[in-house]
Amino acid sequence: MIRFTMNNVRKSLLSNPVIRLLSSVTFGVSLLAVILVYASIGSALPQARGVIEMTEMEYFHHWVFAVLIVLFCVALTLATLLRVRWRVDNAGVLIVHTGLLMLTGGALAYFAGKIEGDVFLASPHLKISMPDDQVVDKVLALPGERWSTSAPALGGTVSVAVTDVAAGPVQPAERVAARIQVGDTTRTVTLTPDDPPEPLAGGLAVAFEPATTQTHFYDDHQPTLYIKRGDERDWRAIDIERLPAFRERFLPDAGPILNADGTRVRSHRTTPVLDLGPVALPTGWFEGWRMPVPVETGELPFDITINGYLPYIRGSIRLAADGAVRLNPAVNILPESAGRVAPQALFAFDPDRAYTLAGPIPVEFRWLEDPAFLEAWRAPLAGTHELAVTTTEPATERRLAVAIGRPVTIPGTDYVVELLEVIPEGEVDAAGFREAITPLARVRVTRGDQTFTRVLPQRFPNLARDTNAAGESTGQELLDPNIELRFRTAALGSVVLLATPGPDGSADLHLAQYRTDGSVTVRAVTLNERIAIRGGSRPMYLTITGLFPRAVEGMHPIVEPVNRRRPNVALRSMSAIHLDIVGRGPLSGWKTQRWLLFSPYLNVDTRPLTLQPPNSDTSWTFQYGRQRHDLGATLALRQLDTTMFPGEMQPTAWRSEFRYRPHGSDETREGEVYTNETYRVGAWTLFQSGADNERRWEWSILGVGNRRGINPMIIGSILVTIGLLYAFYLKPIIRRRQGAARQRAPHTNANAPAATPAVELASPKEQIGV
Amino acid sequence: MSKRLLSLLLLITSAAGMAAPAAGFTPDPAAVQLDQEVDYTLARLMVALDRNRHKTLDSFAREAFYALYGEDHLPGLSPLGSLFEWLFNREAYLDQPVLKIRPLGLRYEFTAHMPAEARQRVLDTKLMTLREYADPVVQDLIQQYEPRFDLVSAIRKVREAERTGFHLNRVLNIVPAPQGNERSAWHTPAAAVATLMATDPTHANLPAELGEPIPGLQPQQAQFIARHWAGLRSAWLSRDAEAVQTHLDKLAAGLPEIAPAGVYPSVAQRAAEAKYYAMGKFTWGWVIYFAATLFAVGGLITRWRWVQVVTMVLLLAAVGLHAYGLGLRWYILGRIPVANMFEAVVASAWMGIVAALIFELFLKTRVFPIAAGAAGFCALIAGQFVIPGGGTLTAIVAILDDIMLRIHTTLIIFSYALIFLAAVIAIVYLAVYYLRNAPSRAAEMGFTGAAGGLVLLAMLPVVFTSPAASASYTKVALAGPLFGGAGVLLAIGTIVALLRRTSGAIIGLLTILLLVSSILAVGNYEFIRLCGFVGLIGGLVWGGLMLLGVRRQGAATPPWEQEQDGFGGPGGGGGLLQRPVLAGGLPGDRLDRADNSPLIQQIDWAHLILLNMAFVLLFVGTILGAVWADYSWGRPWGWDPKETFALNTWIIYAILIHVRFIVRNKGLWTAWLSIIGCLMMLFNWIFVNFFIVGLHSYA
Repeated sequence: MIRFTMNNVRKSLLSNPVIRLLSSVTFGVSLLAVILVYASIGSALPQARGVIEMTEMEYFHHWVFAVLIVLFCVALTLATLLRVRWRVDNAGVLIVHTGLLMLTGGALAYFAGKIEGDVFLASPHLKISMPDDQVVDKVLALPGERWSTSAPALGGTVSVAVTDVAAGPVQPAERVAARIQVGDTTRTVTLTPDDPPEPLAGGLAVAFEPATTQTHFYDDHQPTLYIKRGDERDWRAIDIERLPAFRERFLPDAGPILNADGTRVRSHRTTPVLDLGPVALPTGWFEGWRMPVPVETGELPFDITINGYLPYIRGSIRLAADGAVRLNPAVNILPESAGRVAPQALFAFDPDRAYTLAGPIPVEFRWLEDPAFLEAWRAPLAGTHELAVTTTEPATERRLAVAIGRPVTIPGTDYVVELLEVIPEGEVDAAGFREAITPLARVRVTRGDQTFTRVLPQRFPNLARDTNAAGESTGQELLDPNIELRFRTAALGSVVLLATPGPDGSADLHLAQYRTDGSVTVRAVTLNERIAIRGGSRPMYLTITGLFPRAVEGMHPIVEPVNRRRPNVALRSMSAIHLDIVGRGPLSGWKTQRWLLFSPYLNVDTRPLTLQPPNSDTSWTFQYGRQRHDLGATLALRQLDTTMFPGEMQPTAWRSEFRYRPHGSDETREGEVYTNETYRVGAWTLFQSGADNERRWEWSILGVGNRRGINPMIIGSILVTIGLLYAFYLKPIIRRRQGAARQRAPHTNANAPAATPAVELASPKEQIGV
Repeated sequence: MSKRLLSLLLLITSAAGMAAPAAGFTPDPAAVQLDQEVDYTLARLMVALDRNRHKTLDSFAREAFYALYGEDHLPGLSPLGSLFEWLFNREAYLDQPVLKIRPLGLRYEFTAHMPAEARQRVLDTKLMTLREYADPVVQDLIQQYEPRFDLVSAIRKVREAERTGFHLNRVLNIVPAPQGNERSAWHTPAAAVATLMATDPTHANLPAELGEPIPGLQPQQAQFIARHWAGLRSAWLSRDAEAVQTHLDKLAAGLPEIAPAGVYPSVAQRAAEAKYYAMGKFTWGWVIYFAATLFAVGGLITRWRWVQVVTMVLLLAAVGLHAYGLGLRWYILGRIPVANMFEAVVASAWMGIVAALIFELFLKTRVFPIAAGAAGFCALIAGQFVIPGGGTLTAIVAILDDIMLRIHTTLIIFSYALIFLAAVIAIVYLAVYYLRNAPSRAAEMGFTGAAGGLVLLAMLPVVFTSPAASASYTKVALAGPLFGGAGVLLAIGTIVALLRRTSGAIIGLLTILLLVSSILAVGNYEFIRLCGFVGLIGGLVWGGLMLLGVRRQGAATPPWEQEQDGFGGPGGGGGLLQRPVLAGGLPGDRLDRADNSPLIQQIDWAHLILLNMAFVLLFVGTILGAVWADYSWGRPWGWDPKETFALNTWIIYAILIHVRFIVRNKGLWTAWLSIIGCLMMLFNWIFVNFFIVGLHSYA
């Protein structure tokens, strides 16, 4: 008969090789070493986390780490049960291990449900503004707050003092009574948010802006795309899963992307594969990002894919994008010269945006209604400078090569023309052409006794203007309408992009390149082809990155160079995503690609994108930001208070006083968070996270988070501490007493306790490793 | 604004022509003479409000000139002498090398356009003249580098030097706000002049450089300040010591009268601050600790009683001085001095040393004094020469002003001190162990390490064109990935070699190559150079020491290896400290007692006592940090690098505890793991604080 004892159970379990391995100290130590290495790499090498697009939280949320921790818990449990003798003198290790298990279990629960974010709150205030709505100053809506200025022109002192404030259910100020003084006149007014601005003097006015009430906070980690139709009030929130975080990752459709210093930005990997030259290792099992990122649009009449992500942009420039209802041809070009890239859009129908001299060679964009018109562009110029002369009487038409300072007699006429000056970047003085740049020629025309000077804009021949011998301009009236002059120059070389209508509303593109001798070559070009343009003072490359027959202006981000990026900005707060939108159902056939900038909140400092699909009378608005969570209450800031360092140059502490009303409750409560002090609102803990440091103390950002699993962690920590103290400092006393007792007993080795391991192992094999 | 002033300076000085810069800073002998004749007893206790703190004028001067020149005064002049000479006679020194450019990379950049001789002078001395600094080339570089976050720290140091060099008169806020409170802004003497002028209707427009009039300053007060400040300037320039003394004393007596009651710091507090700075923040105590360490090593080797007595006397003297300095700092700041790097290092060392002395008092092991001396020496020498700011007294933000945080910090730094002490004892253990058991192998180890250091130094000119701080300064574009990749391969190779139990020589070679490639992968010139020197010198010292062991193999047992009686035998003695039970059993238990000498067992035992305490304190300190974070930041743990590496350090000691169960040579494993744990702690304390962006970056 087998006697059931703890030792027998232990022996039986330890005979299982898996349990023996899991419970062995060697395994536990190895596991600790692996956890150590994992944690060290993720924490000390943020670059390594950047490569795999993981934040610290994501890295330590990864299933690999979770497996390590669970294994550790299993090993610790088994070792505690099977390898440690359950005796009083071993109570220390038993308590420590139990505490560690509680601590780890609590941590797993804590991190599994951890949500962190923040909420933006602005306090109620009076806004003093100019007639053009330019804000002069703000006064907090608190009794006793005052604004004043000394303006003799306005009649002396102008001041606004808050005398009384009436609070609403949550609003700390719903109505404000203010005393207004202008010179010697004083009056009291009551201001509500719906009132028009109250005039002060000299165009100054005061208006009341209530506190922003918030019912939601925004998650720090989960990116979300918000979409709403037309004037709808509510947004549809779609979480964006597996979006990169730290690196530029974009497909060719989203590019080209430029740094603020004018250099091209290269995309990092766009598929989770580690390229080791001859071997490519798929790493998707570990890496959490992907590109392109599909967005689940559900019942919406379009599909969205994110095919570009930029983690840190400095700003944006306006480039062409598809989306206009009417014909409005545009190209996006990328002139490169001397390592610098200057992207821009050329709009054929916009005189001031159809021509650029950003590079060493001017580039012009023209729309030709008929492809047959291309032929006319294959003809070379007569020389570096060409003058096309048409006279009515006698009827002649000539194209002449001219040079500065060399008079030319026009054959068959008594006209003599002399090119006086060529201005490469001339400006045209005519309504509708104010910003337009074009090469200008000044030509002296002589016929018999009559001499005048005609200014010839190359791109706008109809805007030629004459100046008589006395130097007086004749305006739109030409002094001699009998002669018509057109000027073209290739002095700098030039490039003309010629777009013609293609099938199905598309367009074809040709490039005419004029060399300085006037010769020209015309060729078809394809998008994203890098074309070498020679003939100018410096070599230049031109890439056509987009051609849009029906173009609108779109935003195109410019990336901040890596070494100028602030290292501690909130995750994705400077980022942008590139949306590829393809209509379906009623919007079938609609396709557009747009960049969308990050907006930290849905209703504060937003950067939305509104699109109007063709053949649809409904617009769609998109916003890229953070996941929204219900706060469980409506919250409004009463006041942000600050404590300054001596010298009042720098704040040292902040205190946010707020009011809130839990959902479904009629009771309004007041709370405050400040440095080293949090506040609970329902399930959420609020703490001071950010504040207005511009000395107005208008707004405050409260961090919001939950704290599931805290209690087991606290109890676990206390147990570990008690266990350690017991094991290290109480156990020796127990041992010494036991030794003394043995010493008193006959036939006992007094030194025995000292030679016994502090924690006895159930299996002697453990001594040499299992 | 600063650029405009610098340009103005250039204009002014160009008229005077370019004088050849002197090799070193030389003050006007008349100023030196004057400085010696003036008694600053009262003047040094005047107060300036600077960088969020009311400080003595003496402190202000010392900090200003530390930022400018790298020392708290100009050569030949006292701190206050330097201050007044600079305030009133700065134009005389435009061509004197005085502005210290500390970052090596920036020194190379700022001097690239200069003539070879001048450039070499700056590279050698780190000092530029004001005229050289105001050069548009240098100013353009600063503008260019200022937005770069990788150069933030370097440019900040330069800007601080510039603040003293060019704008000292604008930041000398010594006039209290008459109607203010302890947080109100103070004003410069020039603002008092502006106040005076504002009351005079004949002065319609105030010169902008004077600043705004001081609200609430009575005309007679303004007149008093203006008269004596102008008089001081005039007297200083005419080198009239008597007049200088008169005006200074008047100002020192009159300025506190302007401040509302309770705003001007008390005389006792100011005197304490002046004393603290005058005594060099007591960091020179490292000399005593160094001597104590030498005697302590001698005591362990010779076992002569008088050497041990001298060691203890020196240590007690040093620790007393150390305590006095800390106490003074505590008194001046009104808070426990554990809020910044300097305070934490100095305070933690003191706590550790006191603990070690108590242990030594009870246990008489002769190894605790070595650890205590080494800890004091390292902490104070770091405080004096290494830690940025050199221990300047600073105000702390309110978030750090919290009792739980104080307890957390105190416990953590105490555990760090114990970890450091333990690592020193571990080194002693290893030295004794290898000397006795494997001197040849240990010598090889040392010389391999030295070779690694040499390789690092030799690689510097190979991978770097120069130490300049420009955008990409490595010769080999892919140096980082190349060395990083090599490091990964070598790490794999080392692990494979360890698992296959390859010969020690190959494992050693792989390890050293792994270290070399990892250090090179960091790509920082100064870091690589430092590691190179440490490896070379440390390796040679260790190798040389072990050679002694090789020579005396087979000789009679020296006195320091004979039976030790420190712990009084297994059953004797009293007190908790006598029985360290750090996992795996007592040192010298049945598995390695036979192998090791009593001395080695005794060192192991002493080692375990420290590790015991460090392990508990580190855990409790970390948990209290989490408690503080929970009510301050709303979360107890966020995997911030500092938190993660605190956990990592604790994990190493958890590994250490459990490794003692499964290895034969417990002491040796403990010693090596203790050193690794200490390195992890130092990494967490230094590298994470200064180089990894996280919530603890302010530390």
